[in-house]
Amino acid sequence: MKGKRTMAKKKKRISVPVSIFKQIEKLAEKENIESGEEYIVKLLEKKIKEEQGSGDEFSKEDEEKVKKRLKALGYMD
Amino acid sequence: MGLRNDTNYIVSGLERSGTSMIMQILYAGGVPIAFDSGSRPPDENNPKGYFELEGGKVINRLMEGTFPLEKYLGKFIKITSFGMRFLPEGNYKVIYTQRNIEEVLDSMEKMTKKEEDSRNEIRESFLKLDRLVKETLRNRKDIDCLFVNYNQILKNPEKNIKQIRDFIKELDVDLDKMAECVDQTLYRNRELNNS
Repeated sequence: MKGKRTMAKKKKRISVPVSIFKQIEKLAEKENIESGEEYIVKLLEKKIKEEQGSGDEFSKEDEEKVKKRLKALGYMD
Repeated sequence: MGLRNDTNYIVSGLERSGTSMIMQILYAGGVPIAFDSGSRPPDENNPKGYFELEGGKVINRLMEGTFPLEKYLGKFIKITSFGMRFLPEGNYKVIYTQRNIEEVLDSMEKMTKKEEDSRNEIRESFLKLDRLVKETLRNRKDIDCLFVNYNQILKNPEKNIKQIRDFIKELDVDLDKMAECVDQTLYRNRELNNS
């Protein structure tokens, strides 16, 4: 059986106004993200990737890999 | 209230992320869904069936622009993530499933019966696809989307099933039968993990 591949990351505390955090928690619940904190981390990761232009877009190469896999699974001809 | 005849209802998500389980849940609850069981019958990977149309080859038809979406108004159909990129303008309600990516990849590898050489690469590609589709679902004005999580559904079926019921505004569904589907999936997962 394959084990979990996640590693605990070191964390730093920041403060967010309660009113904003309440809204964040609602958004997290709507998207089935476990907590407001996780939602904020995801948002920040996305923003950082955008700023860095880190090749996060679904490229032609990605598309070919996915298509190959989908054909192997019988989802595409 | 209930499902509307001017709306296409779609269950989506990455392949092997629990889309069939959502279809099973809806079916058990008495929600109208469309599928043909002949083209891809149930097998060990999906013992309850795939709940697909055209053997799951809907993607090809959507890419060609020949999939007859109008035929399925007012019913749930399954279109996995890749196909959602080719969805024409319309009026949609989408339930999008998410699942731990390692479980998705494990399930894919089990289904193709081979260990993937470049699991890291394929993981990245599927994660990018997932992000792209979710972004599209959030931004398109003609799509109303509920994001659900396979692992959360197994953990807390009642809450998630009620969320689905509220989203589709189908209040007469049989919640007990819907929850039974989750129990069966849990049981099957336990059996697989113990074997």
